[in-house]
Amino acid sequence: MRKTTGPRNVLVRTPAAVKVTEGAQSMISLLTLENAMAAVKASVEDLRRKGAPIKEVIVEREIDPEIANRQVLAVTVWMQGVTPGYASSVWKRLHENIKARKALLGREDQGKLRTLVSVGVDVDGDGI
Amino acid sequence: MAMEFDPTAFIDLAESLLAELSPLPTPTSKLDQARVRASIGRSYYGAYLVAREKLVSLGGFVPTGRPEDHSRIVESLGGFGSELGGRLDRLRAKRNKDDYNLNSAGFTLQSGRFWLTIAQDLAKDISSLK
Repeated sequence: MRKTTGPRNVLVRTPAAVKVTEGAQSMISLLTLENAMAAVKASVEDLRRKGAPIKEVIVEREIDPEIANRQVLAVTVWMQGVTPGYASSVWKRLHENIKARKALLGREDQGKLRTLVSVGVDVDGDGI
Repeated sequence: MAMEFDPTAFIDLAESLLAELSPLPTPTSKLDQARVRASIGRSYYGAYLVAREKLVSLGGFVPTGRPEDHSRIVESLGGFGSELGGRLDRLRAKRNKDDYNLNSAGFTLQSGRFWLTIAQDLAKDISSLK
């Protein structure tokens, strides 16, 4: 009998869902943060492809309720079902990835990434 | 003369708040959620005060006593793009949400434990700065 080669059960990883709030979108357009954001998204995607269980990425315009005139574009990479130590190590790798990609940006975009975009990790789970 | 308060006690308090959660914590338990939120708040202030005192002792920071000191400390640690500054900034952002935002999403025990770990690591790493 002829051996057939059908589709194999290969795990396909789809890109992490990135949710950008309206306020964040306005900030990105107004302050031309597209290149800085592209570097952050690509860095997150690198980690996801390497197996980090990233559930979703939320991009928000963040205003500090106690500090006048302070706003940042906050990027939160949410993971689920991981230990604090693992999530912390993913954050370190993400930081290194962003640093490497930042070096490829022009001077102006590097400045924007350094002063306007704050990237972090958070952990969620079932229940409380 | 009274001894100066050690801000890492806030981080210890954050840990004990999480240990006080009910055996099967649920998002509907108001008290459990309040404990997680309070724990994150104490984690932030523990790490922030350790950073402030360390930077003052190194001679690189003069506190003004104004809210802007919080962002100035992040800047002094290297800004968002640095590992220490970025982590402290995100811990403050989480603390802001836990104190001002009543949406219950994101205040799980897992999240509380994660931010406690971040605060413990920050306090250790910042204390060893020279």
